[in-house]
Order: sequence, then structure tokens, then C-alpha cells
Amino acid sequence: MNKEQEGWASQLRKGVLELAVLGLLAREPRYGSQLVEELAARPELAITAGTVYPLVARLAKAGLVTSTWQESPVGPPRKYYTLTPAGRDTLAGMAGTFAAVAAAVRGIVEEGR
Amino acid sequence: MITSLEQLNPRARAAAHDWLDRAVAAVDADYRDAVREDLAAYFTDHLDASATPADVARLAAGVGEAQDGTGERRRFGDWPVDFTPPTARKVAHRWWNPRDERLFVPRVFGLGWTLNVGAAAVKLGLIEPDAEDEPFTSTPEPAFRAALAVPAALTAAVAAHYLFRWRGLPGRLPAQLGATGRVDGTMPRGAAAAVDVSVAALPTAWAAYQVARGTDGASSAGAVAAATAAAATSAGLTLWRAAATDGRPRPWAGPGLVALLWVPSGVVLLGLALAGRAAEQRRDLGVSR
Repeated sequence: MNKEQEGWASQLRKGVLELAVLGLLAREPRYGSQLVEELAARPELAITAGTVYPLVARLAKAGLVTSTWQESPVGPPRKYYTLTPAGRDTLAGMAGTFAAVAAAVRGIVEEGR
Repeated sequence: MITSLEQLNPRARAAAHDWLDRAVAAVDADYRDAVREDLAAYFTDHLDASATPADVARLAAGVGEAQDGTGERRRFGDWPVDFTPPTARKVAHRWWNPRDERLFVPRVFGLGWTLNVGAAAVKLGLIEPDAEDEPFTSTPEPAFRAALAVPAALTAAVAAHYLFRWRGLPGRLPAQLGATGRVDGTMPRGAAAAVDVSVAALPTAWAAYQVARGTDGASSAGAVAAATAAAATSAGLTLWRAAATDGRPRPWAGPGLVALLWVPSGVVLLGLALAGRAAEQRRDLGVSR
């Protein structure tokens, strides 16, 4: 991958990270390091804890997620993040936009082949 | 006046957060959170809990857009430069940002970097990056007063040292530390005492004022941490001046003073953050922790 591609891929990942985090939280509440591990397990997203925690804090400030301490069956309590109704609406909107943009771009790229 | 945007009703809160996000979107990532916090503080100072989204919009219109590169937040080559006022809130944010992985972040004021003690604490496994929703927002008032005892005790120790040992001290005391740990200059005993006591007492008085004001947790934490750093460094200087009068080199003096600048204030910030985490856990789990 050349430098131009790397920069573009980095911007693309930044753009979809919010959607990925909201998508994971839509399935079930998750705690911080769990979110980091699940996102890091997808190498194409190239996510680190330093990216995820500030993002989750921003989503919480925007009222899209809430955080609550919960007891853990193993170890100390953990802070779990849950989608709010506003977060679900935002996720639906973002997912729709993402699908539409992806379809349009795919169409353009395939036409050019 | 409110102390946090969370005290606004949901619609006004959403409007405020939305404006803040847009206002700082173009700001350099190194400074974005600090600028956002300063703007949020302006909102909390000027809004009350009954504010409407229209009130938020009116206030925002008066603030204008936050621009990066037009003020003093610049880079000098690869070095960050920040000449915006060094507020207590800014001290707390730069010295304690556990969500940010970087150990070194732009200095609170001037050229270069400072240590992000929050990142160090996370790397040492002492606290989680998201232990608090907002650093020091949930920290109870008594914790700040207890933390204030640290710089106050150090200040009292420095003053007591000069008071009780005055007659036994030589007329001139070491003033400058050479690279090898040797004394590189001296100053009159009275001037040394005035410098050491002032360096400890003035920031401690300022921190006491901030804690008594109780404007917000970040300001109290930043002021107490800065006062602790100043008072601990002053106590270290006082000890060195007294010990180095024999003229022997003390190679530990330089590293010791650097450690005194960071370790006590880092411990204070960690303690305040742990108190905040415990308060959040009591709120959510309803048990005494």
C-alpha cells in the first residue's frame, strides 16, 4: 500500500469507527476493554485503546451512549456502555447512509472495470 | 450558573454538545479536548438549568467559532507551543487524561511537552482509562480538601525548617545546581527562605481558593496538583540547600527534584480520580466502596 492509499484508508477507518462502536453496542452493553478487544480483533479497522476511549467519551457527551458501573462475576466492577434511544436513531441513520454511500461507490468502481 | 452541561435539560444539552463538537472540529487534535473544555466552561458559567436550545444558540453566537492556528496554539518545528492562559482546568486536563494513550502531551504553557500522569497510571495498571465519566466531576468535596492537606503540609514543613533552623544556617545558601550535582552558586539565606516559602505557599493559597470556590472538580484538581508539584519541589530545594552547604556533590539532587515535581502531584491526581471512581460506583451500585 503506498502513502496515498494509507492516508485514504486511515481517513476511511476514522469515518466508520463511530458507526462500528454504535453497531457493537446495539447488540448488547459492553465495557471499555471489551469494545477495544472486539474492534482490535478486526485488523482491517486498525483500532487501539487510544482511539476507542476518547470516542466513547464523545458519544456519551453527545447523549448517544450511557455508562453505568456493574458488578462483574469475575473481578472488580466494570463500566458498561449502553446505547440510548438517540444512539439507536443515530446508528440507524448512519447505517443507512453508509450502505447508500458504499453501494454508490461500488457501482462507480465496478462500472470502471 | 451550572457546574456541568449534564445539568441542562436534554434538548439544550444536545444543542450545546452539538455546537461544541462543530466548534472544535477544525482544532488540532492535541488541543481539541482542552479547547472544548474551556468552551464548555464558558457555557456552564453563563447558562442555568432552565436554559433552552435557543439560549444555547444565543450564547454560542456570541462566542464565535474556535479557530486553530490563529492564536498562540502553534508548533515551533516539531515542538508544540501553547501560550493560552494556564488555567487550573487546563492543568488537570493536560496532567491527567487517562483516555489519551500518550505519555507526553503539549505543556500547559510554553514550548514542549509535559507528562500525562493519567496515561502513566493506566500503563501501570493503577486505574482504567474510563474510570470516571469526566475526570474529577464525581470526586466528592472532602477528597479535594484532604488532597489540599498535601501541599499545605509541605508548605508548613518548609516554613518550619527556616523558622527553627534559621540560626544554624550559614549566611549564604546554595542557589544553583551544577550538572555534576555540585553547588554552582549561592544566595543570601533570607532570599533563599523567601523563594522557598513563596514557591510553596502562593500556589497552595491559590489551590485553597479554588477548592473553596468549588466551581468544578477539574479546576480544584488542577490547582491542588499544581500546588503539590510546587510545594514538593520547594521542599526538595530546601532540603538540598541545607544538605549542600558542606560543598560535596550530590548527583541525586537533579533527578530527585524532577521526581518531586511529578510523583507527589501524580499521586494526588490518582487519589482524586480513584475517589471519583468510588463515587460513581456508589452511585451506580448503591454500595459503600
